[in-house]
Amino acid sequence: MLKMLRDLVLEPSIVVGGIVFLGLVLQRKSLEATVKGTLKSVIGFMVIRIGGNIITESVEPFGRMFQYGFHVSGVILSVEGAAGIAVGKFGMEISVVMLLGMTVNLILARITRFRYVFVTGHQTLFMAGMIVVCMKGAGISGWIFYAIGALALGILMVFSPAILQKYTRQICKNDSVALGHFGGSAYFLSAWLGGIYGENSKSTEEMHIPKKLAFLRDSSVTVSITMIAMYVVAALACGSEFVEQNLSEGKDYLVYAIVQGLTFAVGFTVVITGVRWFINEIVPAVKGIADNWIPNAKPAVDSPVVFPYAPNALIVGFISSFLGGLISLGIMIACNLTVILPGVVPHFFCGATAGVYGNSTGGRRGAILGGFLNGVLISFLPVIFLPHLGELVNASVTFPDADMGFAGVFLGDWLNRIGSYGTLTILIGIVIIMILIPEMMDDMEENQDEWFTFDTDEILKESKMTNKK
Amino acid sequence: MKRIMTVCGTGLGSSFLVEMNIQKILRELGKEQEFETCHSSVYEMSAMDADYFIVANDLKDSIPPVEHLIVLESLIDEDELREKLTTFLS
Repeated sequence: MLKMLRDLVLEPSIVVGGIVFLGLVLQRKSLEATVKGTLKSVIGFMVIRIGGNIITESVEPFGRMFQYGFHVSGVILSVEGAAGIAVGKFGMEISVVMLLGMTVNLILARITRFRYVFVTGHQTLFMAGMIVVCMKGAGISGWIFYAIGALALGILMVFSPAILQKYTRQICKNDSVALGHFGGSAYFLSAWLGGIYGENSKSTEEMHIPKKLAFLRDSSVTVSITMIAMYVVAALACGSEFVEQNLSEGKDYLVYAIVQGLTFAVGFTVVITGVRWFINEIVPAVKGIADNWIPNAKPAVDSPVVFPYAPNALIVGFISSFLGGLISLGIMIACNLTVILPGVVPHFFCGATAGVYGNSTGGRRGAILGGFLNGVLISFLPVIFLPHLGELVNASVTFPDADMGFAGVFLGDWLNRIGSYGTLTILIGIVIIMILIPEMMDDMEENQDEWFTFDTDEILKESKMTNKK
Repeated sequence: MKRIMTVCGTGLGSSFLVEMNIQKILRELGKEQEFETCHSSVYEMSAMDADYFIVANDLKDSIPPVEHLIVLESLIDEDELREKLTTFLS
């Protein structure tokens, strides 16, 4: 009996179900809605883990082929892949950190001037995955594990929309929403660069972009194509003998590569489907709390909300980001570093958003520069944070988005150098600063014009960003 | 019961946001019993999935042709959504 109870509370899917169940009961949902919502979240959670397993299975041979063929390790950028694997390994920790992080976010939005409520559920889950993997890599456990995880996630959920708000307001011509996407630091730098170098550059929206590129929006197609290409290149590099003897059990090596590439795409869609089921109850709950409990809350929403304002900038940003990724790839090969392979989905979503932010301040030049910078950033950040990732170091797939990269770089570094208590102190310090600086925010809101033109403020904000991360 | 589907790139974030706004508007109009809502991604949706589809203008060329399509200029502007939805559903 005791064993059963212990197994029950240690079973991640039961814990997730319990949390969602409690949340639905607290919202006084009907019995039917409670049962339905709980089951759907649990199923979604389990589907994510299965997707993670599929991806693990498919990237493992890729890692071996790449290693054998090119004598360096190759890592694919895919947040869905990395998060799927992470949920498979640390599902319970991730869901608890996610819940606690959302609570910290709501409290910060309530008691500080930063009234941002992050309602992009899938991004929260992915970031929770990144933070948990990092902490596991540093070997932390116990209450401090959850304290650091919750604070780090909660702070980032406020910070990422906050640094972007001044540009988001310009793009959306609306101050009631914010951008909640963990590529935020790249978008900020993109808009900042656009402001400096984009003078007199025409908007991307005056360009003519062929309609044929519309298929790029279909992620299942783009993921399949790029993955097949990468697997085939890796297979060609190590030759039929190695693959057929060690991996494919005699099957033709190119056929095997194509099937494995497609398997990755399967894992990708399975993870996304699972995430959709998983966040279905969580997001409305957070939004409901924000609407009723936090005056003037600014919901931070997913990056595609800025897409309709500059459809051409998307394509420009994506292409230049991908180019940035390819050039970084060349540099990594030349310097014999771990090779980060450009994943098309992160380059699309983050690159496109960077393009929109760059375009908002610096037109075409801004969009190109911003996209390119994003591409370089999401390629090189993983090289720095990968050693901190513990069990995911050799997973051959990792987290791309820029904020996740910075979170990994700084969290990993702090945990290594000053330990868990030091890191916790820093995070608490950041919270105290956030509570204590309402005057500064007041000043910013009153003198908005100055903030838009006064350049030292930008530098100040940027240095603040690096400090805080 | 008619079905309204919002569509975005991965069917995770922005389509979900618009769906929540639609539910709110349907409640305001007292039509929540007449319509059900859902969200999906460009690569999963098919024209048979729903009676009405809603996308943002950057995606209008990426989806298969459907009979009833509302194209939004902004995903966050509730007034635009309310106006287009009301004229469309009446």
